[in-house]
Amino acid sequence: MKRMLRTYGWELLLVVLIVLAGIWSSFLSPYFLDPVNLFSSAGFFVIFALMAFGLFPIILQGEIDISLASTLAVGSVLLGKLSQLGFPLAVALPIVLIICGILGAVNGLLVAVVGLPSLAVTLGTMGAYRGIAYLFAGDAGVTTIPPAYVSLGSSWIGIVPMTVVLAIAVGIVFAVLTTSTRFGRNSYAIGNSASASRLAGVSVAATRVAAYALAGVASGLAGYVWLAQYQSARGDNADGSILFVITAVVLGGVSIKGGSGRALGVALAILLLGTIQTGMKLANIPGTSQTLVIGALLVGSIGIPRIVQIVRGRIAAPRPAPKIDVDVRREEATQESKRTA
Amino acid sequence: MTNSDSSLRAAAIPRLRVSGVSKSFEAVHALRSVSFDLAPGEIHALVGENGAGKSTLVGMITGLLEPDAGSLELDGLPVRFRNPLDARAAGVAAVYQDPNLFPHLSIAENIFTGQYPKRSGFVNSASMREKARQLLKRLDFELDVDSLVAGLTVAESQYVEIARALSSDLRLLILDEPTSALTPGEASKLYEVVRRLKADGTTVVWISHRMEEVRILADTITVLRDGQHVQTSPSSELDDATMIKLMVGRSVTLEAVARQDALGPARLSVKGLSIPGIFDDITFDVHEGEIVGVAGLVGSGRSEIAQAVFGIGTHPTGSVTVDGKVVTPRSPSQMAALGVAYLPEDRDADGVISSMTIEANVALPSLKRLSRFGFMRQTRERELATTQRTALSIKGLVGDLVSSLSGGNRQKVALARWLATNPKVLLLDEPTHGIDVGTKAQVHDIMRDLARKERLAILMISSDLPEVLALSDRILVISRGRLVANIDIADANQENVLAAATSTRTGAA
Repeated sequence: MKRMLRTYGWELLLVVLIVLAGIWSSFLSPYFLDPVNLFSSAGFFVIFALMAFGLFPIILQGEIDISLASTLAVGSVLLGKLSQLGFPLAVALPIVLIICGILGAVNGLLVAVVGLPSLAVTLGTMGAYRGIAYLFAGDAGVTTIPPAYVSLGSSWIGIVPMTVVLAIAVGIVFAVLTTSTRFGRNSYAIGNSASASRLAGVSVAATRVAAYALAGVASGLAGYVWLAQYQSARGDNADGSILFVITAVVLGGVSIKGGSGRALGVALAILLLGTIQTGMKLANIPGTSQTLVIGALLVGSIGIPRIVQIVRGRIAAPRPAPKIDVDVRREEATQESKRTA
Repeated sequence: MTNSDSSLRAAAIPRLRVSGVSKSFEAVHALRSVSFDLAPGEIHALVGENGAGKSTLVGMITGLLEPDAGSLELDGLPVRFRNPLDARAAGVAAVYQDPNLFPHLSIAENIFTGQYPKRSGFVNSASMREKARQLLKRLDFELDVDSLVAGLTVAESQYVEIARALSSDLRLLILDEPTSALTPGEASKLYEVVRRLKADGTTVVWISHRMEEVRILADTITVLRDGQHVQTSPSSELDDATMIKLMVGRSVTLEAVARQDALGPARLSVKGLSIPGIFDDITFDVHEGEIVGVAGLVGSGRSEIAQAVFGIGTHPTGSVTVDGKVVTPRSPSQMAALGVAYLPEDRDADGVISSMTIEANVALPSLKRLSRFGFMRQTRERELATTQRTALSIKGLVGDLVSSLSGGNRQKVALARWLATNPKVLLLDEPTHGIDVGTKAQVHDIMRDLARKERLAILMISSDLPEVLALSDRILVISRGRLVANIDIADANQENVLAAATSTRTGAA
């Protein structure tokens, strides 16, 4: 029990927060807990969930990709165009997923093979891919989508939207991928120490490129869901949603430095963020303030574990290794210069 | 040392009196009621295996840790430092094996960090540089005070640290394994410096794993074992065998064991291997069942040769043949697939992933073999870790984090993960660096077994000359990037290996 609490403590905390947020939301509106409303609200967050699951292995490896929402736009616009050219969905969707995978792999190659910092690379491709989406879509975007392409957005299994089922399936795929495959083992190792992993014979570059390509595919899939849900595609699709996506992954307990975290946590974090955002909508909180809350949650989810660590360090015995790190020295230096001054 | 000398010392006020000091980390007793005295102006060696409590003791003397019980007296006055800065102000300073300096500041700035000479609020850089120059001159170090620390060797960085300690009135200087990364020449220079400090009245605490060093330097030796004080005696009254016995509680010898079986075919052949500016035209073979020792100074290119063979860093010219097959080393994963394994020198940064479990570390290079269609077979993963843990007697459960282990056990994990891949060629870079005497002997036995029973070809790089002589069948000596000697063990001794390592001429013996 104690072991379970230690291992899954973060996930349990998220569950508690989800329950609290759910209670809060149901106070704001009696309809919140209505199952039909609950599931259709959940459908709104499927797009974010797909990108978050895709981003999860990248952050696990200690890197970042902020271009995913742009990749989504390329996917949705391209799929819309292909639909209008008369391609059947069974042909168009694989093409789009492959292209989005290639866009992801380009990020991966620049990061892992060329050795550029991932934040800068994906900031650049965030703009570039967005540009590609605008070029394809034109000013008007793509409307009048054939029914076969959008039926996903209006199919239900019982009261559960098909898109939610898709998100759960993708979540399970990423959970299995990270816990039970060679790719997953390599990802955790790389996130803990890329140089040591390389010396252990791990193909670091290949594993990284694979993670970026997978994230591209997941974003392409999110583009399909976008098209099916909104029955149109434009160059600015999902613009600005990367904040939500990164927050979901980090709030899910995936260390921003890499090396730890689980798909379950990411799924719970999406539920929590979804509940909070739905609640804020019910409370008529404007979108700008919602962004503020999500942003604060991101900083909080990075900061709180660190603060806990510092406090724990103060309470518990100091580290036995008598190494003075540079920061402490600098602190000491300033203290002393104050004293002498 | 005569008797009258010791009685005189006993009567004098000790420089530092450690009385009844204890410290626990959670359930682990790092130190239990340790008491001993350090006399003024002596070189006092502190010896003990890893985990004996040396670092904890140093941490408490310098104010980094707070003792649970006990007290310290500096020159007869009770002291309790709140932090290392406090200790430094009182003339107590420590220099650790990995220098802690600001790489992008100059030597002068590093020496005076936190205590810059000032004039009307501004750093007086002329006076700072002049004072730095004087300090370095006093220590007889030839360093340009304006050059950046980033470009210094480990030895030079240590000189800067010592100069830094000297910048206040120094009463007690603690050196924690100062020579572990130094060349013999640099080390003997450091001995001179320490002797000079002693002559000035500073008490020097010298922590080292090297017996011969303790022997030539120390006036007094204190042995710690398992957090307890075992003995403090004048070094003349303690011979090597006794000292080691006190440290480990049993006697350990470093004796060569003659090889019985004939060597097999060459497993690894290196011909004309070169990287411009690093090493040049290196040619050697390692045979099945053979341990080839590589001696040479740090920075001579020894490690780089092994790394090039393993596919790390710049690609060399020349040829590498593994098991009769010519290969171009491009990456560690490629070389690992061919049965070559490399144990890096920096165990904690490169050899293991200390934030992961023993199991995850052991399995990492074997993932391909442990998976089917990319899916891990978790029972086999656990079996592998358990088997290796038992085979190398690693202390700790397979689910424990590697960071919770001692240095010696970490090295065993680093070794275990490669042995689990059934390699044919092992490249070991300083396999026993910083490991306590007991574990070191275990690692030596493991290496002998691997070569003689498992018939592996082993290339062992080591700065520990007695180790090289005790284990190797043949010794390669590298000096300034060239293979200057290839000596059969029958003809090798400390003198000719060292002579070759410090030679400046080229050409093989």
